[in-house]
Amino acid sequence: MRKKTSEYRKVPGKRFFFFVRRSLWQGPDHLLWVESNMMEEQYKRFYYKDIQATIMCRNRRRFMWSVIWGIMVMLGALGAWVSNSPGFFYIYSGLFSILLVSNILAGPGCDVYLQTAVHLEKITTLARIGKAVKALDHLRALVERAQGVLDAQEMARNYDTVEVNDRSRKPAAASKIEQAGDTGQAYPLVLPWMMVGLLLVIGMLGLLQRHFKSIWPGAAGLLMLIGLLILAIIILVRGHRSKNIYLQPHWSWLALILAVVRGVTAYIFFFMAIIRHPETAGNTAMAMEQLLELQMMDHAWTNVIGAGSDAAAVLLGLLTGAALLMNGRRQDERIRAST
Amino acid sequence: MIACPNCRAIQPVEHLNTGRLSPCPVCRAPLRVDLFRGFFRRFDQTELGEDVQAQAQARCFNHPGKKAVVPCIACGRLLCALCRVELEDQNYCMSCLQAGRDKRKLKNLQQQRTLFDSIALNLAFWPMLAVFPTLLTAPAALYFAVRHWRAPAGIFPRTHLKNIFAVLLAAGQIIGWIVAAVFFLSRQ
Repeated sequence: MRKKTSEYRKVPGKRFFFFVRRSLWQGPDHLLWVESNMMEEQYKRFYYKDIQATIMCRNRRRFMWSVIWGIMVMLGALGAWVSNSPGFFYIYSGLFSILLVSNILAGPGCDVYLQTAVHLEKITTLARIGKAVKALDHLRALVERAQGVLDAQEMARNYDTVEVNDRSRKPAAASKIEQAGDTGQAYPLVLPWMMVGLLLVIGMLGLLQRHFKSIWPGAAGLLMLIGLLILAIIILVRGHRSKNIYLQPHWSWLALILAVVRGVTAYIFFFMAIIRHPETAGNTAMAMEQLLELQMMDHAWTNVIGAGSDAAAVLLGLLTGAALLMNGRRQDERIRAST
Repeated sequence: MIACPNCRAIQPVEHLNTGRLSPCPVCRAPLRVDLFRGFFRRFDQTELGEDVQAQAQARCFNHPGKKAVVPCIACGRLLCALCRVELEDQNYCMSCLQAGRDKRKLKNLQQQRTLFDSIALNLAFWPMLAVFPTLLTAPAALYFAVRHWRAPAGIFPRTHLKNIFAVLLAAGQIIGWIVAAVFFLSRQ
């Protein structure tokens, strides 16, 4: 707990994803959860006297990111092997190698939850077991100072007598057993599958465009990009802060980032096309045609950017589809466990 | 009962407060559970407030049949055990608590703060990548930075660095547009 600001001390760990930053602070009698984006900060307080339990569950985060960074490194190595100017690919592989090594060194991943009488809050800043264990040990001392130490015999005597059906005292985690049977999903299953389909099709259309040197797959891909952007936003907005979701938010965020990056790239090509052919400035259709022609230009950078983003779209589509299949299975297990 | 976050299986008492990861009996996910006394805290009947026993006893402002135990620190109204809300070792009534939250006088009730300096800096910086939107966003950034210079930044103290950068960037963009306009007009 190094950083101290006024009465708060920062708990180690932070999460930063696409302009949203989350941090946890230790106060005199409560924990302060701060989520800040580009425009505002939001606060949640967890008073030590209200915390009933902390739960840390190991997950496969380190493995998943190791696979993703490893694939990127291999793609870079492959590019360096086949390319005549491998310098770019060496830098590309080097950057992703750094990410891969730092992910492995960070240690196993985990999810940490704070349980109170009314809810189960996920603390996303504690994402690695090493930091989480230190933070939870410190938190335990603070909570025991506020509530008193729980004797092991008292715990063993009283634990089985806590009634799950008593709503006023039911742990939030146990109440989720009942909610698992609730079919009120945040969005219909068809939406994430549509997103998977769009990712795969956009990737394939880009590869077709490059292979057959035709502008029509590229034009279709641009239109589908708009659809992907809208779909990813809908899934993120409707699934925001909901527990009944088919897909973890980070898949939708990755799809949104990919769509934005491809959109920005297309925007840059659009300007380049107008600069090269000023007569198309007043004619959008001609400018778009020039944009698509420019995307097919046989140049190292266009090939790398184009092929890279097409491969990324296909890869993301496959991984998202796999996650959707696994999550569907997990939802079934939850419903079976509740009945 | 404590349930596994993955499969919702109830964890046995042997897996609690061990300080190490133990596998869930159903899904085998490694879990560490720290349980505290608050889990077993029972509802105390006296928290509902005691009835007035004698005529001379002070009565709650909101519940005349209940005995007042504390005054509100803000308005002085007498409160029973049910009405009082303890915050930062002080007792408040609900009206003063709500007023304190709405007027931002009670720091511990603040749930969100608008970061005007971040808005100004983002308005000044990001549109630069696309160039043309800065015609609109630069004056907007300047407005946010100057108008809300003294606005409270958040629970944590902040410097004016973001505001200063926003002003410099926005001013630079506005000057750039003026120079570009003068240049094109003079060419014609």
